[in-house]
Amino acid sequence: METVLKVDGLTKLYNNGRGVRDINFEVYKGDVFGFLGPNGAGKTTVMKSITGLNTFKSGKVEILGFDSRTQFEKALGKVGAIIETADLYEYMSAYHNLKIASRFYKSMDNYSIDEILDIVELTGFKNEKVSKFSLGMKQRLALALALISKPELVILDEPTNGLDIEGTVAMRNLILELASTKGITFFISSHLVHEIELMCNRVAIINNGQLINKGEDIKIIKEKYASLEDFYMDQVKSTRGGI
Amino acid sequence: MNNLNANIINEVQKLFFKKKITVFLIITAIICFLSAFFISAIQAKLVFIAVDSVIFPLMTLWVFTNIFLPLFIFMTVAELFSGEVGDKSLKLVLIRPISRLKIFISKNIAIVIYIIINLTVVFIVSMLSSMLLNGASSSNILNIMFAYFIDIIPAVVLALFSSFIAQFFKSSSGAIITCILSFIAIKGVALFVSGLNNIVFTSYLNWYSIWSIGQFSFLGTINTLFMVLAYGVIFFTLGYYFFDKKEI
Repeated sequence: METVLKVDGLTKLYNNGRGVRDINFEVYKGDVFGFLGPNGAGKTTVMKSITGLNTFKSGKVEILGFDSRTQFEKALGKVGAIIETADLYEYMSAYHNLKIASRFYKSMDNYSIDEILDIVELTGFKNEKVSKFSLGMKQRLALALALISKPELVILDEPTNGLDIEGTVAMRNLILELASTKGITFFISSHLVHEIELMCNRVAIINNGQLINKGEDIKIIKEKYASLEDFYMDQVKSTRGGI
Repeated sequence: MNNLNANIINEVQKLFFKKKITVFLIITAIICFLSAFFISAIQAKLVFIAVDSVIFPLMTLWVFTNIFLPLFIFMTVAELFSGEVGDKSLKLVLIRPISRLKIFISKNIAIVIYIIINLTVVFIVSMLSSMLLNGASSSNILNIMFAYFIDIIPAVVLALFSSFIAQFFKSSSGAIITCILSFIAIKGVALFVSGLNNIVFTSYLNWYSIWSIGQFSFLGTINTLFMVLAYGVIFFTLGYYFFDKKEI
């Protein structure tokens, strides 16, 4: 199995003493890898450290074989990401948001931008200002921005956060379609067990800044447990000493 | 290098997508023209005020580089740094395959381009309005062009100074106010403490006017140039240090 993302001993501590300690896991090519944990567990901290938004105290992150600290540009060359929220240039149109991002990638042209807008079903809103978009449309445009690099790995931090039922289903289907048709590897964080269960083939659980497991196969989990929720509760309880 | 070029284009484009940046340029042009119109009008009534077509563009340059340009620089820098931290759009470039050093350089180059555009607008409008209203053609156009050209250097240093200040703020308004107050404080202190005026970078914003007063000294000018550049290097280094450490 080809490793797309390798996190080795990642430790990031904030001034208040919180953060994440000794995080180790690997994401393989073709995975839709779920990163499950409650709010404040450290999911976003790990994702920010992977994408260079945060510095980290110790450990190593390798993306597609490149060290994210010493070979940052190469490591991020085929990565797309949405971290925390779908932040966009609100004063620009959807097209210009994509155009600005596309300049970092040689292979991108106007045709490719149209193609990506078509994938996220925003073609009709190409020239509309982002400030007028609904949350679901912003989330889809953010995904389009993540896809502009023709990525091998897409990192999504709570991609369905704030979306209504219809928007959540649409986003989930889009991710699954991209994974199966384009072979994109996904690394997705969520605090919703159900979301991870429906989207991912492997899952790692994080709680209180520590990784409880490094990425179990969800099919194997389901052979042992009635649901992923039961597995999650069992794992969390075992780290608390069965309390 | 390609990513640096790409981000320079992006930063300039972002600047001009914000309406206020274009509005500032239009206001600059209008102020220049109205000043020329006003001077021309009072000149006809008060014979002791003599502003010819050579003096007016230089006089405009003095006012512009000491008052309006610093304000525009502070606003532009605040938009590109603190403003993007505030609206979280800085993340959009930080997760692209470009190092933070290149991002910091490209943002500052975009500001330099904005300064050059500003000075070019002031130069063209002041020259045209001066020629139109005074009815004389300027034979000294190269001299005036040179004055505008060398005033780019201290303006760039001021931009680097404000880039450094902006690293401490998460909103553009906080950065602008602090830049303005720091600028006034430096100017004020330099005015009252003897000897300080010669060694602070804000004293050289209208560098050309200092050249034209008294005898020109080549060594003195080189000395000042290196001092101003040294300020630039210090502010760039400090600004980059804090930008690189920034956690979004």
